[in-house]
Amino acid sequence: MVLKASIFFLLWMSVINAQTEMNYSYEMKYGDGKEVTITGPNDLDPEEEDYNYIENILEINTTFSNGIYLFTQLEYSDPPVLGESIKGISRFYLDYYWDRLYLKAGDIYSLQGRGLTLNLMQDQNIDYDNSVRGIEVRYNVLDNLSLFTILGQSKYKYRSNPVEREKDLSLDSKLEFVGFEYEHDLIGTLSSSILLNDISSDDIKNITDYKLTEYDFTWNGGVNNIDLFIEYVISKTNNDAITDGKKFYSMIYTDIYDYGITYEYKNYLLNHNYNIISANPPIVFRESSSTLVSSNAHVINWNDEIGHQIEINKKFSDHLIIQANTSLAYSHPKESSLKISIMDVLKMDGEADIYHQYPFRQTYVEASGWINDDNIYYKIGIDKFDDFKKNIDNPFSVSALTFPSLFTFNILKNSSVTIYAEYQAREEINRMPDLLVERTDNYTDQYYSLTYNHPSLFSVTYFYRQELYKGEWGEFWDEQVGGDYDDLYGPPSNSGNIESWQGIDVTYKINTSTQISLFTGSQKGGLVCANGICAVQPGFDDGYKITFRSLF
Amino acid sequence: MKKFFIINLLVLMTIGWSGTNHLPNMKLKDLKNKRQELSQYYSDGPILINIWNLACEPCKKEMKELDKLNIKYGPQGFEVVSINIDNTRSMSKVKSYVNSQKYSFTVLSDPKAEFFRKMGGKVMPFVIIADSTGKIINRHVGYNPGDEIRLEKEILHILQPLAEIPDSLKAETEPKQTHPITKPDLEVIPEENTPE
Repeated sequence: MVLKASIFFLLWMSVINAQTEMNYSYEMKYGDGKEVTITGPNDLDPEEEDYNYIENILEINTTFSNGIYLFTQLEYSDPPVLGESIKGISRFYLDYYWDRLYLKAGDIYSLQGRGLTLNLMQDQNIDYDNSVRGIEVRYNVLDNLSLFTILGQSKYKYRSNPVEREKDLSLDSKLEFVGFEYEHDLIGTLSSSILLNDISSDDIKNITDYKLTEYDFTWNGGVNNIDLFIEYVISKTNNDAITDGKKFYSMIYTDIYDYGITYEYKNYLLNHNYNIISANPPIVFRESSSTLVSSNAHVINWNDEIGHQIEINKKFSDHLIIQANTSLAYSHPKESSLKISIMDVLKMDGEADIYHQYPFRQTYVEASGWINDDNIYYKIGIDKFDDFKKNIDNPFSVSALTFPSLFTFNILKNSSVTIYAEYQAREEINRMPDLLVERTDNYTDQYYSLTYNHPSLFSVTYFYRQELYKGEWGEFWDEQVGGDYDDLYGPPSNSGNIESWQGIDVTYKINTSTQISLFTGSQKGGLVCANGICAVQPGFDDGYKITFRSLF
Repeated sequence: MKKFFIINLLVLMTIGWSGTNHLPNMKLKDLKNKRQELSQYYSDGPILINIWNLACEPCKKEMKELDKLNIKYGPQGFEVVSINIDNTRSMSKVKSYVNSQKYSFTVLSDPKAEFFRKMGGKVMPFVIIADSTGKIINRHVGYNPGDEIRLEKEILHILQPLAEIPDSLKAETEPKQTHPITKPDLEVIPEENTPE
């Protein structure tokens, strides 16, 4: 109440004393179709239910001539694409720069270092928001020394199962954060901060109460053409016998003979499974914009994971640009089992020996460039993905080989045609707790899209995706029946099935910052790039979607 | 309380609408981790700001064209400034990508996407064109090959004094400040106005 009253007071003082500038961003999404929920490849009776949404989000940015800025997000979504219905003011904050002082009040989004302790952010595509409502103050004591603090509280909502449309669990969070940052030409940027977070819930599904204290130390500097970043966090909770945990992230970048090389390392070990709401540390693996590559995502364990990533970029000419990336991750070794090495993870060989540390490995190489007098753009890649994980309680592994490609042809009168063509062979192995193979699922995926773009006026895209499934019962069942289970009883019921999704998207550009899109057809969930824009979209069957965006 | 807030906002919207917007005065870090004042880049001429991240394929295509525009019109005081909004998940790879592309323009980092939000950005690529006073001339959302033709015409329009444009075209070519420019507005700029 005090916060809101302060904001209104500041607002009206500003109106009285200042001229304002305002801009607006409006987005409307409407969808009417079906959502098909398949519990697995052997689900003979998939659930199909109506899937409708209507989202209206109006963001108002107001800047007063005395420097005060007000952000307001009004939302009428009933229901939204993801999450619960919202009718009213969903987000707001006010910020103000005055000489050495920076003040922010309302919904606080902020970042410290690489986010190992504090990274408050909103991502509407995945219905994620860990902001706190409160105040943020930063004061520059000197030109190179600043002090900062954040005080706030929130009700953090999340899902017990990621496939749920609405969040079903929540935690009450009270956050206090204080720190400093010091910049020096020779030694780089040093910062340190302390986070105190009281987290509780009296929800019958999730009763909990714990206090989290984190000490963050960050250094960012460099020598010649080498950049370095290090962040180290000591994490303590008050509820466990073993309370101390640590989070470590480091990055080194250098340029050798025009080869840009970035190496990242993470080591997160918290010795507990409590939710840490305020942090979003680096994932240290590659997130792809390819439709098929992005369908295989490694799910990071924020509380227990070691990882390495190296990426190399080299531009030989406009005709040939190479990017190569390798990342790997695994959990910390347990006392009772053998410790695996990086080489074991790179080889990903011998499931029984390495499975207990849930190894993950991904390698991606792409070549891109412009040819034919800049009239043709190409990008071709290859991605190898291997991930050992748990599916409920049983071991589960995914191995996929993907060939994504993209071609753009400039044709007459500055029009263009863009083609995405992707192919993926994916093997998913379901195992029993003793690692015997229970079932192997093989998928062959193909994705194509063809876009015609008339510059600054309209574009039309046709999408087609197909998935072929072939299943096979494993050695666990062979042992049960004393022979080849598939020969005796046949393969899994849906083996041989082919599923396909297709659709057409027409986008009309009313002007440079206003466009309307109509999509009709079906879409498998995932990251979709069309008409010059990329977004994560949920699965959708036999329906239509309208999206309208405007800045004014 | 919410109704009160909404009424306040409506009142503010009525009072505040002036039809003109300026770039906010912000400091952002460059790829050498030094804070830079945004206003320094448009003190000598118009500016084009593009906002992008590594996962945005259309952004990368557009940046190649923006690089050409920066080289072509840089001597006339025009400058392209690129603002990257990759968050902690991928921001470490930005420098490697940018350096490998050898762009001629400045790249700044805004991992909290504060500038993007203040400009009303929702999707990428997002381009803002402003004059040497920081007044926003136009905003562009999305990119497909060929769209750079329109960007170039808008840049030319700011660089060329209005007096040089024939009277018969002035009304059609004059930018409508914060109101987006519709297609016919700039299509009619004659080719002979394009500098070599």
